Amino acid sequence: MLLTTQSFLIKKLEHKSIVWFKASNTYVLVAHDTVKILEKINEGFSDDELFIFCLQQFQLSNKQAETVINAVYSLIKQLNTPVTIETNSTTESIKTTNYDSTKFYEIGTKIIKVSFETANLEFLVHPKFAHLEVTNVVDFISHFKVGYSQHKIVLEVDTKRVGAWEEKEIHYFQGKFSMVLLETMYEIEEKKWMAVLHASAISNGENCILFTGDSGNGKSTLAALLVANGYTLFADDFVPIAAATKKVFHFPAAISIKEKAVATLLPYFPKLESASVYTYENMHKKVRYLATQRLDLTTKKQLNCKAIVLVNYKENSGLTIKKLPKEDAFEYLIPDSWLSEEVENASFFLDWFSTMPCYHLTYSDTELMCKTVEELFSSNETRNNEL
Amino acid sequence: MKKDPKQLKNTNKELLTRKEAILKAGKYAAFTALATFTILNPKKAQAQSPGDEPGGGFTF
Repeated sequence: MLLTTQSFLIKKLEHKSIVWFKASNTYVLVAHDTVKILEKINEGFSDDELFIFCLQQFQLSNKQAETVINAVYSLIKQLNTPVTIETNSTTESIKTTNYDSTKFYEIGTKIIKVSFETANLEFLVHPKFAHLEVTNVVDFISHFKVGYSQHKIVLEVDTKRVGAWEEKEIHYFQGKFSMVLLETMYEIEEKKWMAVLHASAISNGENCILFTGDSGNGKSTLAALLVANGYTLFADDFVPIAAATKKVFHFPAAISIKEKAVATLLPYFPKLESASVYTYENMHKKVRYLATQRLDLTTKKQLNCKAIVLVNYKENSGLTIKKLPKEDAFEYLIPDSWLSEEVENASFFLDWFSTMPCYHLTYSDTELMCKTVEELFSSNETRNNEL
Repeated sequence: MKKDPKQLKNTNKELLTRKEAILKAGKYAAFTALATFTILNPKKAQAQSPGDEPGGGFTF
């Protein structure tokens, strides 16, 4: 049998359905009627039975029915096959014992020690967490080591080798560093997180709203503007959601601010003027990091999400906000996010997403934008506080 | 140019009524929707925004 009930999940949205294939951890948006065909295949329908079903159910011609069935089989074949993931491990540990620098970071209520073999490696990690650096440390919970082995960057935590990455995989090294930091911070292992979304999470102290959008569309600038207007930065770029609670967790990395946004934000954050400027040559951009206030993690470390908002900064647009079909929001959110491959977590994620109100916000007027966000936080249309 | 009445008559025979055209287009749309999929692959590992790494002399 091509499919088993354990090999895929289905969630119906407004206009389309989402099908998740376990083998490849892939999500597919399909017509609701296509799901009926998948379900018949899952029930064990023969080719002839399926053909007759399509003719009768959808009033297709013989040729159309054949085309549709072939397309569905081809989709299953493509996505219901396990994907071979290139191993990023190396058999060797970091060779050096002579580290260029060692930093201590206060992450939540814990202190971690991080040793970097070279200044270049420090630059890959430190700028986002520099505001958490502490000195005169007597004890720490974990020792992260970042070094080289066999021309790869290697991350070790205490005695365990986490992984190794080539130069072109630096953003995966940085992502894994954040993931291990998250695991250490909350003592929740990776398989218990259902997602790490590529978004900015802003909180009003009670709930949070996720802002997403393509790079350069003003997501981080909007987050900083909201912080300047009394909101709290809950997580930026790396938004973790726990499977057990389906709540967003705080992640304390600083916001990266592109050079073109500095002038807009300087009146609110004068310290940006003297902040270090980092040049990202491959993206032809320069950024500064903006650290916001530390949160008290004893009470509000995880919050319900009220809405997902696709952000678009457009000059002289004033402000427009409209409901965004969930299918469209899904298309934006998924390709840049990490989603757990565990069946249970994928199921939780689909449940969580399918009830999430989604909006499309285009703005140039900061005051109007803040007012709109305030309305989103208090609106009954957005998700109820209680799950 | 004036059309040959005979030719016009023949063409008319092949034309659909508005109702027939909508019905046919609807059936075709239903067929294409059944076989149209949007495949979305999440990241296989956690990642920081692409490009958020310092350039300028990064060497191994």
